[in-house]
Amino acid sequence: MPPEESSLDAYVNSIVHEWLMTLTALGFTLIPIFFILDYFMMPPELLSRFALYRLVTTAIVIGQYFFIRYTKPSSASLLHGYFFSLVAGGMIALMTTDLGGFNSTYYAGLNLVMIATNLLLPWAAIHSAINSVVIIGIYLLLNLARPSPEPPNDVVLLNNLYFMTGTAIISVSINWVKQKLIKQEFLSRRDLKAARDALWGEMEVAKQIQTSLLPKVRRVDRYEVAATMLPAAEVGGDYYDIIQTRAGETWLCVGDVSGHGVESGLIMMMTQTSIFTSVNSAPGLEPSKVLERVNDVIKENISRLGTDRYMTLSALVLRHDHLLCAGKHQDILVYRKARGRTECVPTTGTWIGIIDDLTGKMPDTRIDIGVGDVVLLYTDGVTEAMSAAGEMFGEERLERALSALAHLPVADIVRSLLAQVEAHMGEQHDDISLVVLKRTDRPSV
Amino acid sequence: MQNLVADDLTIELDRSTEGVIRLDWIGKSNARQPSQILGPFFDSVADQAAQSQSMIEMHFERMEHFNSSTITAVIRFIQHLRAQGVRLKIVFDGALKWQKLSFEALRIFEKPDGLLAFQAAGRGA
Repeated sequence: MPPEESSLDAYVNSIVHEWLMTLTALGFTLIPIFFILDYFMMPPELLSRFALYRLVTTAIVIGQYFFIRYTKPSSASLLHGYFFSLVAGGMIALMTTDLGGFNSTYYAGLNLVMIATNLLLPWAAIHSAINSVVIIGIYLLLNLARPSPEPPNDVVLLNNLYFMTGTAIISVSINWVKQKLIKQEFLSRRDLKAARDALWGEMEVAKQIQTSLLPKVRRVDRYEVAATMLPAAEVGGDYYDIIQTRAGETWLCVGDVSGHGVESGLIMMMTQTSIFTSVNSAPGLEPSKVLERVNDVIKENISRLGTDRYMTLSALVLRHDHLLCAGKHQDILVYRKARGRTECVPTTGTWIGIIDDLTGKMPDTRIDIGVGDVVLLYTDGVTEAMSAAGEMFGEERLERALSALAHLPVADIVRSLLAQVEAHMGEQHDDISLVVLKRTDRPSV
Repeated sequence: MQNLVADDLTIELDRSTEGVIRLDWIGKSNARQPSQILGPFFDSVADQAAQSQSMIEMHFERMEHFNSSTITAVIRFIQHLRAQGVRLKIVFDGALKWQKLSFEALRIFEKPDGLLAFQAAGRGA
């Protein structure tokens, strides 16, 4: 059997099994209730017998309900449908034998059993047909086996069989249509799941690319470096990089593309490539000039993509005793060892990708760095990490945390800061990136 | 025209001052694609401002948070208003770092024509 048909069968078996519980519940509810009808319709001498019929049948159906409930769906599940029809239909057929055989109007109850079983159970039309034949067969067999003292009225029998056969034909037809719908639903769900899995697979690849581009550098000339990125569930646009150029320069960049998803990740990757190319191909550029070049590329590509993303981005070139910085991103926090406090250096300029030409619009800022000073760069996932009560982590808390941790090695600072942010936030909605630099008095080996 | 209410965000529209359409942003705007909601609202406000030759004042002081995608919608609005020649003034809370960072970056759209102006209000003013 092809796998597709096999899984379709398993799916049908599972819903047949589920609906069998509804069918049997309906059975053990309605069968006793119909005793009220017996009370008004039956000769008093038959009431106790009918009560016994109903009691025994109800007990069997309750047992069947629990049996179904505690067993798993299988290809044998549909046998319960036949069993239910035999029990409930048999009870009604037995009643008709007590009530004048084929002349009794109680045969109508068999139509109800046929409708309930065949319409509730999403089984194949062939089962619906066989089940209907079984119900009509019991009616005929029992009444032939226990003939009534009164001779059967042929016209009444014809009428009864006509109505039961009509009910059977309607049931089979509905089941045939229902089967087609179930198959369509199954195939649609399967296709939807396949599409969803494929999409998630691509998202995972995009996330892996995002994190695999992160630098592994731990030490650059006169600076110890540590960084981390905690990606959100979805691909985000956070970016940081530490680039040591062929000419011996060291660049540090931190940014964040607006929005989420693969498109943001793609722009982040284009930015990374563009910066890497710029700083390597033209040594001696100031950060502002690098960002002007990057903006030329990214703005053009954003337009070609037909999107309106932008990117907050700061580019810093590391010198022995200072950093030169350009680009509007989060403030840069600098812990001053000499003063024992953290100061906040605002970034200036604007974002990448919002206007065509940034020439002259990105001032360079010099930040002097002494031995032992610690520089912290981060993305808004840190300061805007929201607690369950809706309170942001905030820059002031980050400043205090940096002051308290600045004496530690950079890797420990990053680890502790991340732990504090994670402890604060309720649910992570954005990438979290942290980059920490500490100036040493030792040139790199 | 009515206020805009979408999830945690409300933009109250006030036309009580002659020649001014005031929009007060309240709450949070964290929708994945806020432009779908904000775009039609902004278009309608821009058309009204152009027809009545009013200026628009957008106040963010009561805003608790907006995501970067919301800023994208604001940038589009700024560009749309400039194309229509409508004056826009953006008032934000200068004491809130996240607001300050965003709106300072948008000052790049300020031109000598005076169509766009920013004002830092609140404690950070």
